[in-house]
Formats: sequence, structure tokens, C-alpha cells
Amino acid sequence: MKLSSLYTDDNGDSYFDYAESANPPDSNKERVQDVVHWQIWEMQPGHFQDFKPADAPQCCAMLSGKMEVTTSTGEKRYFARGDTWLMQDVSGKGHAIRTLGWESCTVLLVTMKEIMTPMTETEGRAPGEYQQR
Amino acid sequence: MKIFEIGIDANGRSTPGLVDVPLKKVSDTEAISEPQPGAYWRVGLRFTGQYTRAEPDYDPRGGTYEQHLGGQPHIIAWMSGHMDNIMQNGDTWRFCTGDLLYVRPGSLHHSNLRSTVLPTVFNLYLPGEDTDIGPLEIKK
Repeated sequence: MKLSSLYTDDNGDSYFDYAESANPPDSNKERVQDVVHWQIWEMQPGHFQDFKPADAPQCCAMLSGKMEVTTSTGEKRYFARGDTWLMQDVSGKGHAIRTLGWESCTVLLVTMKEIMTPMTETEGRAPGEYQQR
Repeated sequence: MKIFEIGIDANGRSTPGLVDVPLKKVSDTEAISEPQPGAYWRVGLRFTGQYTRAEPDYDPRGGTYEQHLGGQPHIIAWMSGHMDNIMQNGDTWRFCTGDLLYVRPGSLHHSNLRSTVLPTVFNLYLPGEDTDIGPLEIKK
């Protein structure tokens, strides 16, 4: 399964790519990511967070509501209940977040030990080059 | 915020419960809990069941009366589809997209993926062993 993920490019701009949640890619074997800690994060309707990078590589499992995430180059993606995505732009200009609609946005926020490599850098890798548990 | 729990009663039998994870306000429109220790996460697809328990052909993986223990402490975030969990007190809980469920080690339960939509789960494993059957400790 491909997970949308924010990264930082060489110019400090944030951009969206994908990270693979299976190991090997496109299989039904689950890739394991080590965790530092987890939190529950709730944003009310009308919440806006201005551009800032992620504090650490984080995974967001959306439990309710809907949000708009904007990269520093202006690309927008929308995430709602049932979506899993990654905030891995730990440096540079960062991203902005805005809640949409009238429902509170609840997120299971998981801080990871390491950044998950973007798919554009993992294409062609042999199975097993990912972390395996 | 309260998350669901497959818990254990005073007699060691699985029973529905709730775990309180307090949120602290950090701005007018935002609240967050204290960081809680975690071990690892993984996201995956699950199979679907074809029949309800009332149908004669009901045969989930493991059999109609299969039950299993909670295993290593973990939290399941349901991302798509749904599942029925039957506990030893007879209660059935149905979990679906957006639900958070803590599975306590030692809690014996039956699972039935009665969903026509392919279920997707986000599994967050917590530190501890499958023998740590005490309640989940949440940092306030």
C-alpha cells in the first residue's frame, strides 16, 4: 500500500511523494516501523497551522474529520477519516494544515525513529532491503 | 478522549472497557495528549468474512468458536471495513473506520471480519509482553 508522505527537497521546499507500507513493495507483507511515542491529536473546525516543518518523522492515522495539507510549493492534498499519511519534512519551509468542514479532526499521531524512504528512491531495490521484523 | 478496550474483568474474563487518554489544550483550536510509549507500527489488509454468525455456512478463519488471546499489547486503528469482536461476557462490539481499540494482553476474544469492504488496519504495538495482562497505563 502506498502512503502519501511529505518530504523536503534540496531547496528546503516540502513536497509529496509516497512511501511503501509493504515489504517487499506490492506484497501483502507488512513493513514495520519503529516508534518513539504516540499521541492523540485533536483539531477543532477552523484550525489553521502555518508553515512549519514536522518535529520528527510522524505518521498520521486519521480517525475523524478532514484536513487540507499544503506544501511550500502550493500543492494541496486532502486527508479524511480512514487515511494514513506521513509528515516527514523535518527541515526546510515545512507545510501548512487546515481543517475542513464542521467535524473535529482526530488523529492518531505516531512519532517514528526513522524517516521512511520515498518510493522514488526505493525503485529497483531488491526485496529485503527494507527493515524486516 | 476515551478509546475502546477489550479488557479483563476481576475474574480474568474478557469484557468491554474504555481507556481514558486525556487531551491538553495547546491553542484555541487544538489539543493533544502526552506522548505515550510505543514499540512499532504496521499497516495491513485483512480478509473479509462472507456470512453472519446466524447463517449456517458461517465459518471464519479459525472456526466459528475460535477464540484467541490479546497477544502483545497493541492498539488497532480501523482505517476501512469493520469487524465484530465477541468477548467472554457475551458482548459483541463492532469496530469500523475511525475507531481506536486497545487489545489488552490475555483478553480472550473471537474476531469476525464481517465486512464486504476489504478491511485495513493500522496496528500500533506498545512496549510489553503478551503476559503483561495489567491495565494500560496512560501518562496524564
